[in-house]
Amino acid sequence: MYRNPPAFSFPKLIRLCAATLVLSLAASRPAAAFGTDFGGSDFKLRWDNTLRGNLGVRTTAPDDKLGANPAFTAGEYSFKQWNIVTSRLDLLSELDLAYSELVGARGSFAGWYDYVYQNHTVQIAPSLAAMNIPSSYGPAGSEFSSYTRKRYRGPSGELLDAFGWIHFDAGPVPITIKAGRHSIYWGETLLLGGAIHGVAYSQVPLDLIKGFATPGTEVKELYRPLTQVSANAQLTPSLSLSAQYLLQWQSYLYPEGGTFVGPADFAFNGPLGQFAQIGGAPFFLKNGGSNDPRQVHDWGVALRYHVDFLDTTVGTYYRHYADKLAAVLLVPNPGGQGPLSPTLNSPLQYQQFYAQGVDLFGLSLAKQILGVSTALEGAYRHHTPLASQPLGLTVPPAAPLAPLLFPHGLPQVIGNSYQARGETVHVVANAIGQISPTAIWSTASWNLEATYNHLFSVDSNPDMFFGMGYGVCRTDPTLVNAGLAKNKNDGCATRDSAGVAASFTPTWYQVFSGVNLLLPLTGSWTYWGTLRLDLKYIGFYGQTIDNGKMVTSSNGLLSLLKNRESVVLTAKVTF
Amino acid sequence: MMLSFAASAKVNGEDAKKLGAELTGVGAEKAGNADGSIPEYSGGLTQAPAGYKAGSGSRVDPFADEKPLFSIDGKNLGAYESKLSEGTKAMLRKYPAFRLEVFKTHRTAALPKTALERTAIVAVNAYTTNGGESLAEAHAAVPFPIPQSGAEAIWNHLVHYQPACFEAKYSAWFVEPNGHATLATSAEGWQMSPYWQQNSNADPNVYLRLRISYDGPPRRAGEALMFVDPVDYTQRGRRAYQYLPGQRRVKLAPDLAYDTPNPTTAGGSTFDDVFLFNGAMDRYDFTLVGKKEIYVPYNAYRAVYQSTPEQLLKQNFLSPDQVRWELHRVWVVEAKLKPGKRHIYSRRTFYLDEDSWIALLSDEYDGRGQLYRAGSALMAPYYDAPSPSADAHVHYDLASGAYAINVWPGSKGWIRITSCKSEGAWAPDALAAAGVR
Repeated sequence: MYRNPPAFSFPKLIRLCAATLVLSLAASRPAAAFGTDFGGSDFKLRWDNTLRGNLGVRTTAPDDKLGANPAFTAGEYSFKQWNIVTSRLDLLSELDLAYSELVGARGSFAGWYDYVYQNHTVQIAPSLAAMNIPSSYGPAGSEFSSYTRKRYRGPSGELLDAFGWIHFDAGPVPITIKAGRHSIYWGETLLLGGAIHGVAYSQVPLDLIKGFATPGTEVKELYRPLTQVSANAQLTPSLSLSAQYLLQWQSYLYPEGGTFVGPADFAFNGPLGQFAQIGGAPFFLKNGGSNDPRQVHDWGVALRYHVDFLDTTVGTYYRHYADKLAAVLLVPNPGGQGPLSPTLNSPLQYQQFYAQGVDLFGLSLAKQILGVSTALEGAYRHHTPLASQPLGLTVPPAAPLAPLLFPHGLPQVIGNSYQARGETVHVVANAIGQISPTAIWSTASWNLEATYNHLFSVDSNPDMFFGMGYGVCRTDPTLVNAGLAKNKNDGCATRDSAGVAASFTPTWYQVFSGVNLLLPLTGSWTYWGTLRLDLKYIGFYGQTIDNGKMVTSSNGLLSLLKNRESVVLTAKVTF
Repeated sequence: MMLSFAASAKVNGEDAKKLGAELTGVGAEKAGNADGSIPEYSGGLTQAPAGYKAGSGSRVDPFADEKPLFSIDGKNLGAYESKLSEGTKAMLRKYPAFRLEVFKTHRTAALPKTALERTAIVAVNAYTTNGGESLAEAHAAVPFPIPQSGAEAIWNHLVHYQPACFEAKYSAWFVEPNGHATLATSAEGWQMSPYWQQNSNADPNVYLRLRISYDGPPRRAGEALMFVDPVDYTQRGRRAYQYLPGQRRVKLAPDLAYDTPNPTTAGGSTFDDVFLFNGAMDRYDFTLVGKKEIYVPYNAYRAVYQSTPEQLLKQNFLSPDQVRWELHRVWVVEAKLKPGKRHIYSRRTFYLDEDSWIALLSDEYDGRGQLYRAGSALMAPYYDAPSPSADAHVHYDLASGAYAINVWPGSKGWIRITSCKSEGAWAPDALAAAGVR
């Protein structure tokens, strides 16, 4: 196991930056907002609405060094210190219809509006504005694109769940089938690290805009439903079989560049492009959009068995899927015209790539040990896409650089992506516990999740792997002299990586009329190698290099919300 | 009788002959008491009264026409002191408006013949092990109709007779000291007692399975929980599974037991306060104090099945006009926290009804020995089964003036005896399959 001496002398500790107070308000009405069983019949209808308000204030000032980097400037200067960064209202409306326990349907709708973005324009560092360097949305003072406005300001909304279900007994075997837009998530993982390394990776896209910017979001709102058919059969009292066949593919919903928690200004769907200097000459890299998989071939099957004498539930899983997290790579832009031409031309464009055709074999174990619910999960990924450099090149910017950047030849599109492919294994171990009442709290729940992953081999497009010993992450002297070499401090992945995350939620019941108070605290850190994913619920982190001018990440996704500290208050009521 | 728990104490054949003779089939004294305030036991109430709609699960009061014999309140409690639990006395002293409406005693609890026959057989074989924590050689019977220890009496309460399978629609409320009542939970529950099934292919080390689907308050709608309680806690503890809405999967929960505040009652009582006591007995030493005549809630059909929240949930206590109290003989069991063990209740007293073995009252003391909470279970037997039942229960917080009521059908709810679902329906993953939210 290669151990990277970290930039700091201790493992990167991700600080808890935003403490969240979640006030969960109990309804004083004895029923749902609207619920009826049509006068005692077996028909049931219920309609619930949850309104959540988030108010966040930035607690740190924009950092000069970070803000002077054109790739981070709009995000860094999006809001001044002590400004309100979010005043968002979210509505989740859910409608459930059921006849006895035989058949039914469900629909849900999410709406949002954030006043803070009402008249917001894109701000960048004064030093950059003075040099006429544009933000990723155009010159300083530009408006956000309509995509970013829709996602951040609103008022807007979208349909989430929309499916029907039936339940019947095939002899002694109860079977349930669901068809339509819904989300299915397998395995035993809990927190975000688990979501990345567990058997359910890319089983559902996650709404990272909400997850990032609005703490207190219920999981059921973060999982974005996909159109699919799923079934579950309890073959015997100890053995259950689940299967899903996807009819839709959708990527994660990303925090957009230029917003407060937008990781990098160029990403992902909202920005127009990114200012960059190639060989000393200024260009505007055009945002070339996304390469969504054209045909969906995703499906999965799971078998879960409860072993009585071991008091353990064993799960086995197989999934075939297309990745839902983008690799953002540079490809040629024929014609060289971009949104800021002719002032700044766009010889290159960046596009999102999603690798198809990954096979995942998984195993999970769950058992209660000494009152603590523990689980262990492992996933082997075959032909999985590997970390690529953010805005990595798929073509040489100049012909002589070709053998230097691509010793194995130009990368090819394999399964819809230029990414390197390989074999990896991922392990997740977690525990959930409950703490008895003390003088400090009524009750407290905690969970802990550790992840580990190992790269076995790199099999295709090896030059595109942003990992030590491959592509630009080599110590080749020619590469170094050309100023193109990268290393661990730049985010080059190592063969092994581990991380741990924990959350602790003390609860106070009935602090005042009908209100319970929960204080979820989350922290996490990674050891032995760069992070595979850096999106965090509350804690934001990152390591700065290049004298504080850049924040690094991995897996083609930017982590980097190092200086975006805030305090957010969330209040939520369901009626 | 002052006996501490013993490892094994089988009833000898001599004593067992008393069952059905001077003792009832479950071990209660058949005869009435000296002054007639407690009548002789004549088999219990085994016929539904006119007006009960069969299958509705909402039971009408068979004694609706009766008027109270007298009331007990803070002013006259002196005359009845020896017949009141400590918790009841504390409530009477604290609240001038709190009173007990005492009615004629009807010993309505009844068990089916098969259960009584088995009890006579099992009584000579059943015993407890592991310091009282595990039950052995007992199935489909009242294990200790003539208990020799506190632990045995509590096992009678834990595995008390109930229909093998039933479903309930109920709610739980938390009432603040100022009288404002908040719906803490609205749910439908299925309960299955493999312990009482004559022929069952379920794991023999299970005495209870409970599946609860929450439909209120709105933010809890869609959640579901499944509990599986063992007969032998040393072999395996309680297992609980949580259905996580939005993810449509089931996670094994950590230990939801002991003094962890119960979210169902918004923290107004603990997990082991459900049914006044449930779960493992390993934190307490139980002592069988003896038998007493005590005023307990009994035949409380109005409070359980007819009252609305507005009628029943008054400030500081349930409306005295809605709750029926009667004089019954109860077994008193003292529980003291074992040295080295932690629990918010350092001491608890349970009052178990002689005709059903169900705990009807509890007194709970905090770490300083002060009376903290008083629990009462509202006995209202299923005359259509027949089976005793005191599922609806309330805990009064004597310190704050708040209280919480749980497993309460009320006028909108019901408890229906049903046929048993297949074993497959009780698999934890079946929770995920049925989960829609």
